[in-house]
Parts: sequence; C-alpha cells; structure tokens
Amino acid sequence: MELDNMKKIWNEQANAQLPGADDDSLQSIMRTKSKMPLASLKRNLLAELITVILCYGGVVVLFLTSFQGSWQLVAWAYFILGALYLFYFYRKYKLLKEMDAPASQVKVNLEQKVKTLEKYVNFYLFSGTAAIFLLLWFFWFLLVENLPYIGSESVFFPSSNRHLMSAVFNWFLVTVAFTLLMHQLSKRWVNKLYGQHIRKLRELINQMEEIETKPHPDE
Amino acid sequence: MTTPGHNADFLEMIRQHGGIIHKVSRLYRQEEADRQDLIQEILYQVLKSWPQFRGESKRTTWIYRIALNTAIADYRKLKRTLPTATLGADHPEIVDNLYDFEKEQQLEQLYSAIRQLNEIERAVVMLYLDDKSYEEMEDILGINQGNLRVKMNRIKDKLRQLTKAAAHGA
Repeated sequence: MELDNMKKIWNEQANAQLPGADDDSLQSIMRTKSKMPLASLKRNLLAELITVILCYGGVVVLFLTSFQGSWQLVAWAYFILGALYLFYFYRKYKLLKEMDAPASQVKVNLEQKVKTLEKYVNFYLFSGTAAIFLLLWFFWFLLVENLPYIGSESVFFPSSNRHLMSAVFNWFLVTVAFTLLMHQLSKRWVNKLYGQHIRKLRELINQMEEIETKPHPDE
Repeated sequence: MTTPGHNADFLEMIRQHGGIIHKVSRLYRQEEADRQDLIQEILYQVLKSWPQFRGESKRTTWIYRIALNTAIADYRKLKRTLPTATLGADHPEIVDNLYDFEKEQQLEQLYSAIRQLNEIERAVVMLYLDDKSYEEMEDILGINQGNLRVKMNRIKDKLRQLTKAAAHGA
C-alpha cells in the first residue's frame, strides 16, 4: 500500500462520528469516575486523609479523656503527627495537581509527569522513613516517661545501674538498623507501585527524543 | 463544572471533531471494550479541561493534545490482553452506511500496520495522515520539526513494509 493510497483510505473515514454525543451522555460521562492512574492516586490520597482524620482524631480524644489524664502525652503526640500528616497530604496533593496537565504538548506532559512522579515517590519514601525513625523515638520516650521501672528489664532504657546515654546509644543503634531495613523495604514497595509506570514514561520520552538503543529490524 | 452554554459549545465541538477521538482510540487500543473505555476517558478529560480552554491554540490542536496525552501518557496496564479478530468489526455503529466492507477491510489493515509502530510513531503518523503541517505536529507533540521529518521518513518506510506484509499475509 503506497502512502497516497493510505491517506485516501484514512480520509474516507472522516465521516466517522462518536455515537451519542448529547446532553444526557455528557451528564453520564461526568458522573463516571476517571480510571486513569492519576485519578486513582488522588482518590487513594483522599481516602487516606479521611482515614487518618478519623483514626488520629479517635486516638487523640481517647487519650485526652481516658486513663485519668496520665497518657495525655500520647494524645498530643498524635495531634502533632496529624498536623505533620496534613502537610504531607498538602504536598502530595499539590504534586498530583502539577501532574494533571492533559492539554499541554505531549512531550511537555510526559516530562512533567516523570519529574513530578519522581518527586512524589521520593517524598513518599523520605516521609515514610522519617516517620518510622520519629515514631521509634517517640515510643521510647513514652515508655521511659510512663513506665520508669522498664529500665531494669531492658538495655534500651535507663535505670539505676544504666546511664541515660548508654540506653540512648543502644536504642539509637536499634532505630538506625530498623529504619534502614524499613527504608529498603519501602524502596522495593514504592518501586513495585510506581517503578513500571516511571520506566514506561521514560521510554516514551526516549522514543520522542529518538534515543533508541535498539535499531528497528527493518532499518 | 459546566454550564448549559458550555455544554452546548462542548457538544458542538465534539460533533465537529469527535473523529479525532475515534481515531486515537482505534490506534491505541485493539480491543473494543478498551476503546470504549478510552473514548469515555478522553471525553471526560476534554470536558474537565473545557472551562480552561482559552482559544490560545486551535480547537483541533487542543483535542489532539488531550486525546494523545490520555492515550499515551496515562499509561496503565490493560486487563484484556488476548487479541481477538477485529477485521471489519470495529465500531459498526459509527461507520457510515455507504461505507463498504472492502474499504473497512483496507482501513483495518492500515490501522493494524500503524498499531505495530511505537506509541509516539503512531501519533506522528496519525497527524501526517490527517494532513497536519510539521508546525502543527510540533505544536501538538512538542517534538521539533527537524526530528519530526526524520521520524516521518523512517515511519513511511516501516509502514510500506508493514502494509506490504499484511497484504501478502491477507
């Protein structure tokens, strides 16, 4: 088939129209949910926000009103964590909004998506790692404050015959080891979640820039 | 999100340029159900972006961009991967009554050949077949004109061979 002939065949389909382009079908389209990955990410993030507000809110109220006020520290800690989560949510939502540019040039859109998705993934990874480290120290502090006798049971807590700095050092080793382990596991998880998508987007950009490592078999 | 006036304009635009969406869906999805999903997704994206359309680019340019971005950039795994026979069975409801089976068969051969190209080459060849200038192609795809010309020459060769092979195989 020659190219002129291809154009002729192609142009003869010009009368093809989309079926059902009326007001009702428009309304029904707007009622449906987008199935694109970006829309799923936004929905998941909103679901996460609602879950955090409900769970953290519940924990804060519980520890503020129960146990005769002796565990109020937990309530305040969760309150601070909730506030940090709001920042985390805002940052992630902003990045998702930056990714949403369907009317831009295809190459610009692809580059923007890769750049923003990588920022999103790095932020996700960094926040998760930082949260694990902080939570481990928070629980250590909580136990030391509320259960002082725990020191006699473990090398990670100060006691009459164990200096505070020695306990801090022992716990520091544990937190660093555990944080590094969790960081590696998170990396794998994040790669599983987003890796394929990022690789595909990069491949598309390479196709646009003609950085093809493998020549076409016909060439 | 939209007002009745907006809707009327939008519907008129879809009536005029809906063929672009139809062609993109046929180029980027082989299975009928996937195509319908893609058409719906593109219409959703177009309608969502419609209030922000300022007329800085041509309407067709704007629709091409959204349709291609939705088909290409928002990549996701397709659930249906088993190929099925599609020859002559595509969108029977949108094919004009006078459009005969032989032409549809040739058209499907052409689509099958183009679908063997990579995602970006498919976009380039579609714009070429739609008689877009290199300037317009650059405006839609963001690839510079020199690069587009090189690509187009390669694609022409590939397409010739692919359609020849398809014709011999048919």
